[in-house]
Amino acid sequence: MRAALAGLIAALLAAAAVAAPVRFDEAETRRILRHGPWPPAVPADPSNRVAENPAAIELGRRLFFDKRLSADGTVACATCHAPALAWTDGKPRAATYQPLHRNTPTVLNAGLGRWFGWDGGADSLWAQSIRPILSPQEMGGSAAQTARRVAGDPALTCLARASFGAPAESDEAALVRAAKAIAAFVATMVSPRTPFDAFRDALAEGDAKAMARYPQAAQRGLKLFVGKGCPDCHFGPAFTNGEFHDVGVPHMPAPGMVDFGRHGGLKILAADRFNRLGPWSDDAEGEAAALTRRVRATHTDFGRFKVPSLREAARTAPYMHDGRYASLRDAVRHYSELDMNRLHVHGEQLLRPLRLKGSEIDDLVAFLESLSAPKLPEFAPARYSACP
Amino acid sequence: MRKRCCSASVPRRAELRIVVLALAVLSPAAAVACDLAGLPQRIESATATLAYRAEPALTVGVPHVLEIGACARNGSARLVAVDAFMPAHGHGTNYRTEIAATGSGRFRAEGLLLHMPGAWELRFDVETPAGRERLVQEIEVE
Repeated sequence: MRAALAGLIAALLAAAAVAAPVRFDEAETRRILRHGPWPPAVPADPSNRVAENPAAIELGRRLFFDKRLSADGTVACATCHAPALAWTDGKPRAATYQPLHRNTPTVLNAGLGRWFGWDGGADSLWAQSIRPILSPQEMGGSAAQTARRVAGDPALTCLARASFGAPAESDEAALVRAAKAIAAFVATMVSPRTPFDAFRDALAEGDAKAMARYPQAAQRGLKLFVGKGCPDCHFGPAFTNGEFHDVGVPHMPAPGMVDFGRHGGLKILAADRFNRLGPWSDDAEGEAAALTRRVRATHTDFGRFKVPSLREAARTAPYMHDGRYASLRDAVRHYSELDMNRLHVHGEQLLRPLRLKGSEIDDLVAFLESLSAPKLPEFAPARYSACP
Repeated sequence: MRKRCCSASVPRRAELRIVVLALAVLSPAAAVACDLAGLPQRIESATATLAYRAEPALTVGVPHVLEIGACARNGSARLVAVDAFMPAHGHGTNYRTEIAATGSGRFRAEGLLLHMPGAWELRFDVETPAGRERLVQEIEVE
């Protein structure tokens, strides 16, 4: 009888502990508030003079879905960045003409970034848009093919003229214009508000009733998230600091093959004639170009990859730069059981295995799931009525 | 920005003027090339004094412009590098800061970008008649 009573009391205490309201102290509250408000304004891109031009946005939308930019007319940007899959391909690693060794990131919120691609090999959304078009492994297109595609379609030609004025003077100019239009479209894709955003704003306003609508498990997960140092990298409203880190994910995608990550990306950036310092930038002397001029290689860049946004993470599996984890739970386990031997010698020195309990992993997953909106919009721009 | 500790205190403006005046008395050369007025953050060593103001206030993820004044105890001081480092993480910033002299011991450093929250060391390398020296201020950014 006494044992049964003790068991009952223990069970009640455990239940009470689980149900206890989550309290956030002053420091935690400050850290949580940094993840908003949402949505933010998309920063201007002075290197792309049509970044906010409605005709260019519509042109970009059409080109994004246009398979005729590819070598054999079977691959569009949207083939790998599929709307139905939160603008990813849902595969561990991308594969069109040839298999790649990196995961396809979503283009949601890409316009908020500073560097583009897992290695940051591009410094603008339009320069990044050129990479897959020309890559023989991805779309296998060319500047000449892109120029022909736009010139041969009256609707595209009309939109291009409305966006840029006089016809492109060369195939390369036509390619850059197409890429700038695609970038203008992609930059409109800011993900919607989420249950987390409602909680964050309620916390900012001290609205306890609204805060209580956020699930307890997500609140506990949020407390773990800010308490375990996750926002050091997953910083700010987009849950990324936009930079590159080594978190112990192997960078040998196949035997004998090494993915140099940021180390290689900086070399690609420096050699890229489409970078913001080059002849195709609309602001090669401005502050945006200054960032490219000032970025520097360091001995810690090897094996570093860009910190992805966590927004809409529940829709963008698989995870990590090589798509090795099928679920959010697997990704959280990575940090729980971090293999220190896999960290590069110059990796993040603060990283340690979190050694999470099963219930804590559940809570962190609940929090990460709360960073997705109930539904994604179609991101269809208003029709540009001056062209067919 | 929270300044966790600093190699020197940040004096009120009146005290700052006294310090500058004292420097002027000690060194005519420094008096010509040493103007720290209006620069609230201050670091001192045995041979040099440096003060700066950041625009915007130091925070995460945005490029900053620093207006900096550098003085030597004996002669002029030249700012040659501005950098930042996270001791706990074992890495610095990913961006090179560009420095330009603006006259009278003043310098403008552009492009300082602190890409993570946490404890940073701001490192200022100056050349004085006594040699090259690094002045460091520890700050906490959120």
